[in-house]
Amino acid sequence: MLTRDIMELIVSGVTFLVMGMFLGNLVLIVLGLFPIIFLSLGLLIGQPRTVEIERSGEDQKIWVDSRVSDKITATVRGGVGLVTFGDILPPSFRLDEGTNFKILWKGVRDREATIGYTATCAKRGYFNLKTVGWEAHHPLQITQNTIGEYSAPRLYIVQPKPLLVKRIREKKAITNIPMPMEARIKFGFPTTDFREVRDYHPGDSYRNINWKVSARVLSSRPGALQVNEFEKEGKKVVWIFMDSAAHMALGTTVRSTLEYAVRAVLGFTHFYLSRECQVGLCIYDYDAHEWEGAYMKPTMPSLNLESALGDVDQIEGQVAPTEAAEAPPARPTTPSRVLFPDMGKRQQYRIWREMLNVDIKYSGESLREAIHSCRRHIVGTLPLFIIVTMVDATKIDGLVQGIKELYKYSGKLRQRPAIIVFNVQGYNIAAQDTEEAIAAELLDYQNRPVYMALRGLGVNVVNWNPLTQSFAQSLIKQRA
Amino acid sequence: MRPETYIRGTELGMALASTYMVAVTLIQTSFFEVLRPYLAFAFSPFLMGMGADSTGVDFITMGLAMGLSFLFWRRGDEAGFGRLFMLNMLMFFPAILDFSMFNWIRLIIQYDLLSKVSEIWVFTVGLLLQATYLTLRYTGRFRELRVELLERGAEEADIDQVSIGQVTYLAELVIGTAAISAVLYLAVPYVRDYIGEEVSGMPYPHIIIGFICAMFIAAATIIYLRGGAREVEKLAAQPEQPPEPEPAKEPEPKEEAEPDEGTEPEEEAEPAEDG
Repeated sequence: MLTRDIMELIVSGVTFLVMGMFLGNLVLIVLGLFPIIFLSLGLLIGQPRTVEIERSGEDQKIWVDSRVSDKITATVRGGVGLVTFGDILPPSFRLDEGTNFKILWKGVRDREATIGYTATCAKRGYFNLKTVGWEAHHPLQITQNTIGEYSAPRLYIVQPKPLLVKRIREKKAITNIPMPMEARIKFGFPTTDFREVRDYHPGDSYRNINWKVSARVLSSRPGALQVNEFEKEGKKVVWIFMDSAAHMALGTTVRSTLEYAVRAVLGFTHFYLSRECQVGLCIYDYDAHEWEGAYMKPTMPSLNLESALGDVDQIEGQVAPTEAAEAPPARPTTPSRVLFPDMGKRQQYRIWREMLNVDIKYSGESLREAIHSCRRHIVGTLPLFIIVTMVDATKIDGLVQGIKELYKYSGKLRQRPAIIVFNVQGYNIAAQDTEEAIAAELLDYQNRPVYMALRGLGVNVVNWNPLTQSFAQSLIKQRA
Repeated sequence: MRPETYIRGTELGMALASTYMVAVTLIQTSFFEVLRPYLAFAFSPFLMGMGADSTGVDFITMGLAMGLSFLFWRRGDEAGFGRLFMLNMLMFFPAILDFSMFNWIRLIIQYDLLSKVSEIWVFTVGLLLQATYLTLRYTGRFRELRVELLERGAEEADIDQVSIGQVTYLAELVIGTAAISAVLYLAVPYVRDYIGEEVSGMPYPHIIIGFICAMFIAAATIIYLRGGAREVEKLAAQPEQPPEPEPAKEPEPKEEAEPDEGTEPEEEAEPAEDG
């Protein structure tokens, strides 16, 4: 495609030619050919046509705030002109040294240029740099720029750093952050830990029959034999529920509430897994509470096309109702983001992998729906529930309903499960100056009645301001 | 010397040289001879003040032209260079008329053709004017491109290299074009003799044939340029890179060492297992 600028030159040349014809002047005629020859030569030489890119280095798995280096070599062939090429880094990468963009002049001979850079990865995630972009300019901009991309893949897996909690010797710093009180799983090998005596069920081993108790029970009333029940080789269970709603985006791209929530989740995961607990993870979206139930099966009256199109039927063929008319609007189905409780390094790896992908609106389920999704694993058990969220006084219904749902499925007679609401104070994270910090304090003050209400429900509320407290300090602060 | 200074210096040199040459040509044309008495009358206070004779008109004219040329160069934008080109062409026009077959001004004002410059001189000055116009037009853009590239984060050394390359390319192209134009101009008398008889036999006036030829040249140029541009686009669209390698099933990136718990100073509390 020619640029508009070229037409101006051609018009100028033709004007000279016509003037030369009109006046019968050879000088003007030849001068009129001047811009035309100029343009023709320019196009004949043309702009660079081939750009080949080669990337050295290798894919890397690194931690957040680590540095990566890369080197890119471009070879330009054909034509004459200006070539730019650059490696487009993800927004969360900060260029520290070198450059990821280069401009070079391609003369008559082939040209090769190399760029190298070092960048800091400030945010977790999978970053797949697929191509290196290039752009070839004609020296006189006679033709439009040629824009291309050359395949040069590079994968960076940036892992979030967990907040590790270690043992300290100062006894005063003991917190009341609980371990799970009790756990029960349906499958697994029985341990030697006695649990209870219960009625015999077909399939129970005869060896487990408690003859003494059976004799005592049967002597008083007719009934079943009594068997000893032992704890299965299950571990204590911790369920972590993590909020991925829009309000978790408060803060900057690399230092958002969600990022701190991710680090906190990894901290809890590491802590409990290293203490032989089973850890489950469930990601939910607080905002989904707003439309919870709104997408129930709609009760739209079915259209009676026969009567409505009765007259049309007489003049045209039968109109088949379209699929769109029949299909009710359905709630967008989002996959449930649940990792069922497990233990060991493998579970830690699974949770880490999930944390790499977590983003705002990662899940489409509300807290209540998420609990409902994993109810079969928590019914009748007493695990520890940790809800990592940002408590907002204006949006508390979904959280309260979720807590009630937990009480509904979990717990036993006179025993309620331990629930921690780990509140990442997002307003403090988002505050950029003193005034905003004061405003954040005010908003936190506004939340205090909510904390009281939650504590009234038997929930342990842990507030964490990541800018002023370490993860451990926030836990110590909750000491009894 | 910085390339930007070099470009501006080149622009100044070209602007002043072309204006000087065209002004020198102007004062030697027949039409200027007609105007000279009127200009002498208009500038008489200055001439008498300086104690100069009527030749002072030439110096004043040249001085004014050079002053205007400097002002247009100082603006440094495309509009300024456009005005400079118009000024130069205005001063060049009387010389053209002296060598035209149809001098329509002589139909209005009767004057004798007393040009002191030759046709080849006029042609050379014309080439200089065209070269100046194209050079200034593109050097202005080169400077704009420098700013754009700086804003995009390019290194200054690279930009300097690009500017030098662009100016060299432009100079080569302009010189090449001027050479081809000169060859064409010099070849015309021979070609004219060769095809003159054929053309004179045509039953149409030369102006119609010329106009058709001019349109044909313009159309051919546009078609050529468009064709060339498409070719460039086609080349750009060609798959010039090797096929993308099959993605590995499980990428195994190089792993950094795990953060050492011992060196993690951040957290240190141990929750009590008190339920």
